[in-house]
Amino acid sequence: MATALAPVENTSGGAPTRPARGRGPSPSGARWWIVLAFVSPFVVGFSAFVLYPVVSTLYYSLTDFQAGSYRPVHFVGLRNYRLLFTQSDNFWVSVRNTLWMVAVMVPLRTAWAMLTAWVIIRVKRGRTVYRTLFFLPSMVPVVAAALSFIVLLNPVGPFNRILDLVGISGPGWFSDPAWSKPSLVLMALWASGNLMVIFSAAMLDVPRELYEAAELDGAGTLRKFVSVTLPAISPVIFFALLTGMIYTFQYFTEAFVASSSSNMTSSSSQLLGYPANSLLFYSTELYQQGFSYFKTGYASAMAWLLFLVIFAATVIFIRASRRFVHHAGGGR
Amino acid sequence: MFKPITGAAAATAAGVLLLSGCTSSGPADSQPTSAISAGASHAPTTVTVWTFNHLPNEVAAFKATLGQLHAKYPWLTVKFVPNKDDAAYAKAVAAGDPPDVFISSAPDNVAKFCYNGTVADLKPYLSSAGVDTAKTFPAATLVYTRYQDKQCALPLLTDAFALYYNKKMFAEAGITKPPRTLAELTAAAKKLTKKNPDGSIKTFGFVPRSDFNANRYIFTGVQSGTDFYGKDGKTTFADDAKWQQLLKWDRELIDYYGASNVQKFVGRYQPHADDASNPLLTGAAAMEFDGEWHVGEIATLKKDFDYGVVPMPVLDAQGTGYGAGNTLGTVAYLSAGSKHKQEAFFALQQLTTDTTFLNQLADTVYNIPSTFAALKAWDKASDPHWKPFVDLFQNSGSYYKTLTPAGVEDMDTWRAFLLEYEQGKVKDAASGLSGVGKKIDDLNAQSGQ
Repeated sequence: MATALAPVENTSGGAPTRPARGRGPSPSGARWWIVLAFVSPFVVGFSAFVLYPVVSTLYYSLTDFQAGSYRPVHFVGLRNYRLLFTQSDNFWVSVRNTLWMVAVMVPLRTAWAMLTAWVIIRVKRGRTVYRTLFFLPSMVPVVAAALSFIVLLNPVGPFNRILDLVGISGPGWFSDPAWSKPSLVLMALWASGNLMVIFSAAMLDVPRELYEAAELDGAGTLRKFVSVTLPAISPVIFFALLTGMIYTFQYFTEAFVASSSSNMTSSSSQLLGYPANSLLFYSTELYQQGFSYFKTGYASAMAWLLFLVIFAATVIFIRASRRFVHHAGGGR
Repeated sequence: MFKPITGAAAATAAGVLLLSGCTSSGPADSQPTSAISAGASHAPTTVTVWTFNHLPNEVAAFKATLGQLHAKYPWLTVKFVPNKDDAAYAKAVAAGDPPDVFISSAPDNVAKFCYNGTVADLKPYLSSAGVDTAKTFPAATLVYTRYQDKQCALPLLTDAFALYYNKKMFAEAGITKPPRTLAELTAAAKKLTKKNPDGSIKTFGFVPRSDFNANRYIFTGVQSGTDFYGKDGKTTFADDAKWQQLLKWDRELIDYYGASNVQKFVGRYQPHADDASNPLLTGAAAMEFDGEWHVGEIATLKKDFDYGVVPMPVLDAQGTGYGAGNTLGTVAYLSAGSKHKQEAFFALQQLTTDTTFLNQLADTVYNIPSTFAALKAWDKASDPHWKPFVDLFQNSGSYYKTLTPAGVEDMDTWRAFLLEYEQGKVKDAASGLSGVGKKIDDLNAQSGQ
């Protein structure tokens, strides 16, 4: 690479090449091709699989394009965006359900992973075994996990039978609108092993001296956790919450499998969001509009809106994090 | 070298052209719209047929027929691709590479595909091939394969829905004849219901909720003597009081059992509609509304089960309209973008009209043959369990709701409303019906209806 980035001699005899300000000398035409050849795999891949889809969905979102239609495509301006806000009940249902998951599942999953990590690093014997056991569910493919939970949480399935033994009448879980989202949260907690591993690594990384100093000051277990562990692992908490939030805004697979499998018989087509739209999340509604109703323009508008919301939420969260994330080396 | 501004403009123009190119502008070929003669020699052609998800024995039935077709017409080779749904088909069309023939499990998108020009109008081909649709296919199938004046698809087997009942339970409850009206159905359901000592329900007479098994077809108009859409193309929910009566019947039966008991039942048995744990077979329900394929399933799962099949009761107190029901089924399209339309239509015609194939496939998938000739030759047509479905299918009052360019979205919207109503979230049925009617009308307006 040093060759490609070396200062370029002016061999043409003309005016000397003016280096770009602050960026060092720029390569000549021939060397540009060498640079381009080296970066071309990325440029081609990025252009074909990221840039083009992103730009095309923006274009489609301003049209009435329907996949599979040979009718002329019309430019409709912001009509799709207007329809989202003014004429779609399902849009608002999906927004509410998604925000519910962001508000409930993300903090619970983070707290649960933190708690299990905290417990596991205190286990004296067999820590590796416990860690492996907690981590294993996160390796199960999402679709397989969802199908397993549907069987386990069937109203007369194994889980409710166990509840029956202790005198509790179990709920309908995925078939009950009031319990369908909590069932998905339960599944998310079960599969939070990857986050648990990250938390345990962060907790083990907290300097011993800090705990010793806290102990000298008379701090108990809870005080040490609140005043030493939490600040020390706050960057990891921030990471877990941020990635969890972004993931949950796009929550799809588990909900899709749960709603379609709970509802599907040989005589019924998929009713996404089943039961009673309680599992209709933003991404499932987007899928339904795009791939069941073939409203590509409308679904593209939904995709762009989701992108903007996630982008804005991420920026706000990063800015807000400055107040609670402790960075080693001084300051927050 | 381009100046930056020129480069940007060129890139933008190229991008717009590229994007516009991805929105297919339609097949611009000049293929003849006449059918080819079966007896004439023909250049070798391969036709691609996509179909929906099938069991291995169903795929084998298709392949056997297509193999016979190739043996009879060596110039015609059919590439058969199963496990493709409507979404996959739409994507293939958008990509400019659709299959020549697409077989869909349901007719929900017939009007949408027709309106959008996705599929070819078969009328000229049928006319050229001398196929008189009225004399070939029962009228009920033509309702769900047409849009306006276009024949957008051909039926390939069909479904009908009826009431199954457990004869032994009927006898034990002293019920001598099956119900003909929904009020009689409720009375019978109450008589047939058995409770456990702890008060929980051991046997449901009939489970009413719209999301259970095939129950949603009770709510499309035939059973209540109403049209889903009126002559003006608008929904009739707000104007026709029968819709409110139908909802009231549904609500009363749910209240009789208790919403939580029905909820538990649906959650427990929904995944077992088609297996040995089916509630009718296990005795958890005495009556069940289901499609004709259940006859085949029962013959396989519990051969000695003593049951009867009758048309689904109707709302009307006099039972007027009794004997009709919903009929809809598999449909086969000819892609507008096919590069071998004549040959593809030839294959499509064979698949949808060949009596031997239709009856063989009907026996394999437990459906009803969809031509008059196949029905006449079908050995099951007089079987006491199959006959009610054949009669329903051929009843002049049987139909499926009018299909619109909104595709399945109108039915999905209606189903979501029904569930909300059944969950008790809709307090005023009249205003709820009016609201969902307007919503569906708006959807149709946006879709080009």
